[in-house]
Amino acid sequence: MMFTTLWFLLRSTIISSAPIGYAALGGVFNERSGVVNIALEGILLVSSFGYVAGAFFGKSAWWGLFWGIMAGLLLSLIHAIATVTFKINHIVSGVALNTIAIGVTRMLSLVMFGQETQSKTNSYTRLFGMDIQWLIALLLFLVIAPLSYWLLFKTSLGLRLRSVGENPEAADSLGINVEKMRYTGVLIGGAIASLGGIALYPSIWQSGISGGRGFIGLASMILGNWMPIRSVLASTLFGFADALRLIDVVRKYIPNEFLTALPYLLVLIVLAGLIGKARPPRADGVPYVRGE
Amino acid sequence: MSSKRSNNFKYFLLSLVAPVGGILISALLLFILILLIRKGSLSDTIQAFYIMWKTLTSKQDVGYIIARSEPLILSGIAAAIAFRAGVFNIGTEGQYYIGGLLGAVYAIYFSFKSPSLHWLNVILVIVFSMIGGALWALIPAILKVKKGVHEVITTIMMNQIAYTTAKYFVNGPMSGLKGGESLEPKTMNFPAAVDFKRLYDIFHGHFPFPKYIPLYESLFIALIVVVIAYIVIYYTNWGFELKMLGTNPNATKYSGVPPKVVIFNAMLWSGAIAGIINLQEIFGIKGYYTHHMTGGLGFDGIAVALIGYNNPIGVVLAALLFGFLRTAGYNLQFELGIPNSTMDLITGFIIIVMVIASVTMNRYISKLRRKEVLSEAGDR
Repeated sequence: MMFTTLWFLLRSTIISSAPIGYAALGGVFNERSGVVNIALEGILLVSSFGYVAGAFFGKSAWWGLFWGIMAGLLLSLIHAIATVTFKINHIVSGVALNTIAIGVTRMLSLVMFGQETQSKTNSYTRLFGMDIQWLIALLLFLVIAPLSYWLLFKTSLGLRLRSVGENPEAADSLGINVEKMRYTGVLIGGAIASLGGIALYPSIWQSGISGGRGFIGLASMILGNWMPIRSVLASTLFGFADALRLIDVVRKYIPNEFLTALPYLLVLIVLAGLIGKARPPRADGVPYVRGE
Repeated sequence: MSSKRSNNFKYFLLSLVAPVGGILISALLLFILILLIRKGSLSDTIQAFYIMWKTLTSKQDVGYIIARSEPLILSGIAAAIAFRAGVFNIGTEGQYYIGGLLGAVYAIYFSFKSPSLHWLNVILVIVFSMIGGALWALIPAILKVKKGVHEVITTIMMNQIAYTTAKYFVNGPMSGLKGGESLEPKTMNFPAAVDFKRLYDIFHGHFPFPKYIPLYESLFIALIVVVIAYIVIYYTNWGFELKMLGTNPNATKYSGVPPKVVIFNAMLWSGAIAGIINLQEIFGIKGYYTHHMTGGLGFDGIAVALIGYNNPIGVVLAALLFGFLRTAGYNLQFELGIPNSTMDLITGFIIIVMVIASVTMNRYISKLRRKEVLSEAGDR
């Protein structure tokens, strides 16, 4: 009895954390390269739609995976073009892309499934005989998070990526193509965040399904001090609070709303400097124009 | 001298390129989208544009456009004040939930029940709501000036907490549901003396005022806010300090104006105005408070402020554009079955195109100006 509850709690925590953790990792790659991306919320939304529509019409989870990641990459590409090439304000582009994400998914849902607010049920949710939601959630903790750490801190690509986020002038003077590096950061981050959208709910898409998880991912990233593994671990805090609410005993004694608000309060406390100190990359969100 | 004037005119025309070009490009995208949705039927697409045009000529629709623009005007002004100081108040979203909640607390527990005190009630609802919005902006403002924490992330957190807080009060202490009357969670109903519906009757009773214009208390308040914001921004010291801080923070340092104080005030006033964004829906339409009200008005306001160049008059025009797009979207869905969410897509697209165009044009204009100054210097 005790064991089943604990196992249930662990499994729900991992599943609830995964979309947030992927968004946080996506945020790490974006911001380490110097681009602030609040369109992570929109990326979760379009990639979850991409998965459901791709799998439903392609009749295979693989097509779902393909279109889910494609949708997220496309939105990231627009963000990169707007912020890196045209150098518009990163928050502005993010706000616009989140609006576009809401519009495009609802529109396509009506055209493809005949209903604006939700898709038809997709039954292609298994990969290698495993439930894809569980598989992708495990993948985050066992593979993607360590891999991201290795990529960012143990390879020369990672070093270059971080250098354009910290000091683009210096990176430029060393012959690193700042714009190309920032595109790389935004696109890798977008692909990773797309996996989060796929892990959200593979069997059906609903309007508003991302429910602010992209923003919470950004908060996890800050809690994790822009470090890949720490950011993913920070996301489990939100996932755990989510999972706790599913347990009857807890629901009985603690108001649901308090449990929901707790992680956000915690982030504010951390930001206030009561626990640890948050330090963003130095050129985060600053457009780089040569010779200025 | 005359060449200088013609130059100024040229710059004025160049500054119009971004908004006009943005709208034209977006209209083209809309055309293509509708053509795709209607599977290449050109006559359907032309009819769709005719339906959009008809929205502007129908009196009832004009009323809807104004009613839908009203919250966006307030939301746009709230965002614009913060933008002017170089601050991103993404938190207007949560601030209007809390502002409305505090207004509802006044209406339910403290309001005057006598109909003759209606106007006092209206003023106090506004005061309570403004305090609510400002309170919700207080923590991000303090963290910003004391600890240098970026306001975007703190206001996003505050948004999430605002929604849960509203939900807690609606379902808990302020719940108006007795034994499953309705599935929609809501607070107790407000007394009749706080309804925001009086002004309309007064105007239509005594003046030959067009009936389709929804001149409720809330619209009147929005217009007053626009006028005050315009005067404050362009004719007061504080407005000048805001502009200085937003455009050249370094100059501010040497001018003796403490930037932190200006930023702090800008965030609190932005929050205070955000507090009254949705009073129309809460006090004019519903007559009770619920966390299930129109969401996203804060984010829309950010877009409105951007498209309106943070100028109160520009904000009104941009809000009307949004109101029009939304109303036209409903008509398109109703008459042609084209999803009205297409308009969300177009709205987002307009923002990106217009901001890209204006950034590029500004760079071009400053290049022209530099050339002009150099050539003048050469003449001497």
